[in-house]
Parts: sequence; C-alpha cells; structure tokens
Amino acid sequence: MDSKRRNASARGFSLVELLVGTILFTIITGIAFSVLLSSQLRYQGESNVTEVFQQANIAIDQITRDVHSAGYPPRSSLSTNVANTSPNLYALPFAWAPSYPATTCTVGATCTVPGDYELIVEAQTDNNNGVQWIRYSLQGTTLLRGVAPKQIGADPVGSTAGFLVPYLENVMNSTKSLPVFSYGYDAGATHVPSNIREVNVSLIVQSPQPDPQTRQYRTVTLTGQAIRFNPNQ
Amino acid sequence: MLISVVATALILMAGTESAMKSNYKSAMQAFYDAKAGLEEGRGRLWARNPNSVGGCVLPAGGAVMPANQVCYIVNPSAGEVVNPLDLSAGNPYADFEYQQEWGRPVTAAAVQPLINSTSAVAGANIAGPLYKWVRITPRTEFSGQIDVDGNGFKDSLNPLFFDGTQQLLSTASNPVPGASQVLTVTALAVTPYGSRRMVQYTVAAGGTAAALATLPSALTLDGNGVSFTGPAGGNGNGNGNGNGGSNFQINGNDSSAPPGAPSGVPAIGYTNSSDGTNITAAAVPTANYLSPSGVPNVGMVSLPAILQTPSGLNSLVQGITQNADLVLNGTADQNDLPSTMSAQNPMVVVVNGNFNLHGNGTGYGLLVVTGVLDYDPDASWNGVIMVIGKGIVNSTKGGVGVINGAVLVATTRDASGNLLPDPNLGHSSYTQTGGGSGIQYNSALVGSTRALMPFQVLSFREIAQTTP
Repeated sequence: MDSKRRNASARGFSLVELLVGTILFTIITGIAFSVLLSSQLRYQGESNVTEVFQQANIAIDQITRDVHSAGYPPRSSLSTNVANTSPNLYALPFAWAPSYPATTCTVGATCTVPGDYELIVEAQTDNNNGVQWIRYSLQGTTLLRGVAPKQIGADPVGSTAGFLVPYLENVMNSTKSLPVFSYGYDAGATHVPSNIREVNVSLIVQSPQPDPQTRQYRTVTLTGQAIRFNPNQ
Repeated sequence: MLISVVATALILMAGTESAMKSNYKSAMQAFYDAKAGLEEGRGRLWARNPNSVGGCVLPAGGAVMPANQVCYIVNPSAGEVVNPLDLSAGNPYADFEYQQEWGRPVTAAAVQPLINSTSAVAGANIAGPLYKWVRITPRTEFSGQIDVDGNGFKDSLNPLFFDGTQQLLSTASNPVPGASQVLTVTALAVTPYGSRRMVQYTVAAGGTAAALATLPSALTLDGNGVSFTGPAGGNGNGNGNGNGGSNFQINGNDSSAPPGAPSGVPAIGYTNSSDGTNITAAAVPTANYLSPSGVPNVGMVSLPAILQTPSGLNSLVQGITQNADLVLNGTADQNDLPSTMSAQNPMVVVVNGNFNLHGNGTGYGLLVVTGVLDYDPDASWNGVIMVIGKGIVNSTKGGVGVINGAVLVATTRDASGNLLPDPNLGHSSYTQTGGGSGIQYNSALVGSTRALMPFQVLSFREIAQTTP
C-alpha cells in the first residue's frame, strides 16, 4: 500500500497541470512586463517634460538676471559731458524700436520692441565688454537670444540681428497667442520703455518628442517676474 | 524584482524633479538674501541709523573714504566662521571679487575690523537672511571700470563723487564741492544648498539731495520771469526788535564761517539773466541785502543740472519724499510738524500742498512745500526751505522770526498742477512785505541737510558667480 502511494506521488505533473501552469506563468509574466513597459514609457515621457522644464527654468532665470542688470551703468555714472557725447558708455534699461534713441514709443501701441515677443535690455554684464544690447526674440517657435555692443546712433534691432542664436526651442506662445513678455510700469508713469518697472515672462514650452504613451506633445508653462532696479535716467 | 525596478524609477524621477525645484528655490533665496545684505549695508551707512557703520567707512566726520579702505559686515550662521579675507581655496566665503575690481587681493587693502550683522533678531528668535558678508568700498574709475571723465584713463586712486546728477572725479584728493562720495556696497549670499549670488549697489549720501549742498545764495529764485518783493523800509540790521519791515534782512554772509574768515553768497540769486534788472530794482534798500565783499548782493547764480528743469526738480522732490520723516498731504500748518523735531533732531518734512508756517516755534531740517508757503515771521526755521511746485512764498505779517540756512523757490507746475515741460521753469515769486528778520545764510545748516537723507542707490548689478 505504501509502495503504491509513493509511486502515485512520484508520477509528476499531468499535461493539464503543465498547461495550466504555463498559461498562468505567461499571464503573470505578461502583466509584469506590461507594467514595466508602461513605467518605462512613462519615465521616458516624464524625462522629456523634466528636460523641457529645466530648459525653460534656465531661460527664465537668465532673462530675470538680464532685467535685473538692465540700466547698469546708468547715465549718472558719467560726467554729463561724457554722457552727452558718448551715450554708448551708459545703459538705458531698455532699448526700443523704431526710432531709437531719437524718439521714444508707446509700448503696446507704437513700439515694435519692447513687444509681446521681443525685448532688448541694455547692460554691462561684465567688466570687459562695455554696455551691450541683450535681445530676446521669439521667432516661430524658437526663442532667440543675441548680444551685441551698444553703438551710438545704431538701431538695436538691426545691430543684434546678426547675433541672435537659438536659446530655447519649441516655445509655443505665439501659437497660443500668449505674450512671452508683458510689462508693469512706474506708478502713474506713461507706458514708454524707460518707465518699465517689471517684466513678466511667460513661457509655454512643448516637449520635443510626443509622449510615448499618449502620442500627444506635452507642454510646460512657466512664469516669472523680473524687476528693474536701475534708474530710468 | 520587477516592481522594485518600477518603484525605483518612479522615485528617481520624482527626486530629479524635486531637486530641480529646490535648486531654483535656493537660487532665488540666495538672490534675495544677498539683496537683504545690500540693504543692511546701505542702511547702516546712514549716520542716523542706530547701528551705523559710518565710523568704519568714514573714520573722521565728513572725511573721504580712502581708496584702499575696506569695511565688512559679516553674518555667519550659528557655529560658522565667515572670513572673506581668507583667500584659501577651501573657504567658500573668500572675497575674490575685490581683486577683480581693484587689481589686488583684498588682503593688500586697509581692511577695518569686521562688523557683525544686526539682521537677526535674537530676542524674538527670528533668523536673519543668509547672506554671508557685505563689503563697503569707495568707488573709483578703475574699480567701476568706467571712464567717468572720458580722458581715456581709468583712475584707481581718486574717489568718485556724485553731485545729484552726475559722477565726477575728485582732483588732487580734494572732494568735489557740494558732492557726496560714491561708495560701492557688495553682498555675497550662500544658501545651505550651495546656491551663491553676489550683488552690488553704488550709493551716495543724499543721492539727488546732494544738490542741496550747492545752494548758491541765501534766497535762490530758480526759473524765468521770477519776482521778488521785500518790505519797503528797514534798517538792515536784522536785530529782530519786532518793528515789522525795519528789521528785515536777507544776508548772504555765512553765519557759520569761522571768525576772521568771512565767506558767503549773494543775498538773492536768480538763474535767468533777463530777471536781473527787476530783482535788483526790487531789492531795496540795498542795506537790507548783504553779501561778503566781492560778492554781489543780488546776482546771477548757476545751479546743478537737477535744479534747472521741471523734471529734475520733480525727481528731487520725489527722492526727498521717499525718505522724508513726515509727508503731509493737503493744506497743513506749523501744528502738523512733529513735536520731536529739534536742533538735535532735525527732520525732513514734505508738504504736498499749501503750508502755513506760523506761531512762535522753530523748525529744524529740510522743509519742502509743493504748494504755496504762507510764512508768518513769528516762526523761524533752521535749515533749508524749498518751495518747488507752485513756487510761491507769501509773507505779509510782522514778526522777529528768521530763516537760518537758505531758501529755494521754483515753479515746476502750471495752474492746473501739471508738470511744466522741460527745460523751462515758470515764474516763481517770493514776497515778504510784513517784516520779520528775513533770511540768514548758513552753510553748515545747508550742508547738514544732506546728512538727513539716507544713502541713495545709484545703480545695481549682479556679479556672476561660479561655485568655488
């Protein structure tokens, strides 16, 4: 009797048992790999967004720093005689177009720059290069940045045009009609470039690749505010 | 195992995002910490600040800060040592920026003993901002890398001065008359996460108010088509015996000049030559209008640029208003002046409207009136009175009061209150027909008004930093 029982327990799995086991293993493994694949895709998608977020973050930080330094050194840093004859040695906080510097313009009306997608600040950001025009320009979906030396009587838009290089890609503001730059002014002052007190920056940046799961492009929206500290002359 | 991999990936992803946000937050915090350092440095430069560091910057009252002098305010966290003079590579707070500006290490400068920050409020257990040090230095053409006088050479020895409008280079170590020395305030902040930001102000005592020290006459009628009307009679002795016009006098002799060394300015100054005839004709009897030998009692004077245009004067009034001890809006009188005002505690008072200076009291400091100043010469004032706006002074009553210091009258607004277009000022007027003891010029009182104003920021910049 004992011998029969031992023989029975040592028979191994039946075909049905093997089939059931294999099916169960396949299902469980499939689920596990499906979860893994899904998480990998999600990781890839989130990585794209994180990278976009970081790039936009750096861009806003740089714009903020440039606006902070706008107008340095001011006209009062020079003797009046030198300031009158060499306006390239001091910085107005903001340059404008058209008709810089002969005639100022009204932001939102007669100014092309500063505008919704264009900004030019004047600053001496280091000790070696004198006062520079630092221009941001959204062209298509690329935010460009260019730095050119400030020149007497020159047009800041034309002077910086040859120096513009891509700074941030896939900026979707124009397609969504959201200005990159908007402005606040000194209390009670007219809306001319020299009276700009704060620059509000909004960036809608789209990921370069579609989300692997949804096949949709994802966007990140960042906003920042930069204050002008230097006098408006 | 698979689930562990998934979890790890998600944790890493969340961690990366969190770290990025922390970095940004930390960088922003460092910026505002550094800015707070600048403000502490600027505030403590002011002689009226209870924790003033004026003695560190300017060891002798009124002295010029030597080009090689350096003053630090340090702000270590608990148990931390902040020594910007330790230029070893391991010191995160070493001041290498000084060498960038001055061309020599800070250890070669005349560094004053380090001063501790007062930003933390220990009693209330309020931690201060996390800036590490603030450095105060004079400013030269070389340190600012700017050729102020356009001579093609960046002077590293002579300090720069600010006259309310422009920066000027001193010559032969003599300060520019009537101007304030320009100082540079630099602050470094380092957060616990390692973010570093360095920012810099240039500042000057009084800022635009530095121009006040250059008032060129006892009574300055600033503008075009100005008018003056004095008492018809008077003995010109200014003895204040209360006999109305008989004691009236505008005296340009400096009452603060040392004995035996007379100096002074014209009694009445005007700025448009075409007004000379009328003002001279009105200043009679001439014995009432005195000036030192060789100086006309009534004459044309030149003013700093900021005092020459409506917009310049308007910016001056705005600058003073921002730093005034008291701003009165609408019609006001002597009773609205602070009771704590005294010779030891002069104040800056701005009246945005008409002001009636009356009573038997004395005011001290700087009085700015944008409307009409109605002056009853029972009252006195020691300091400077500026009537800028409507530019009208009326005084028809008698009394023995005197204005010691100087008076400036300028019309910058039309009858509707609109600012006049540059560059022409309007028709300011000064009328004092009742008497009183008039105006006694005092250069010390005029000069001291500048000290009533805090150091004004002339410019700001951020200095790029890399983690050492």
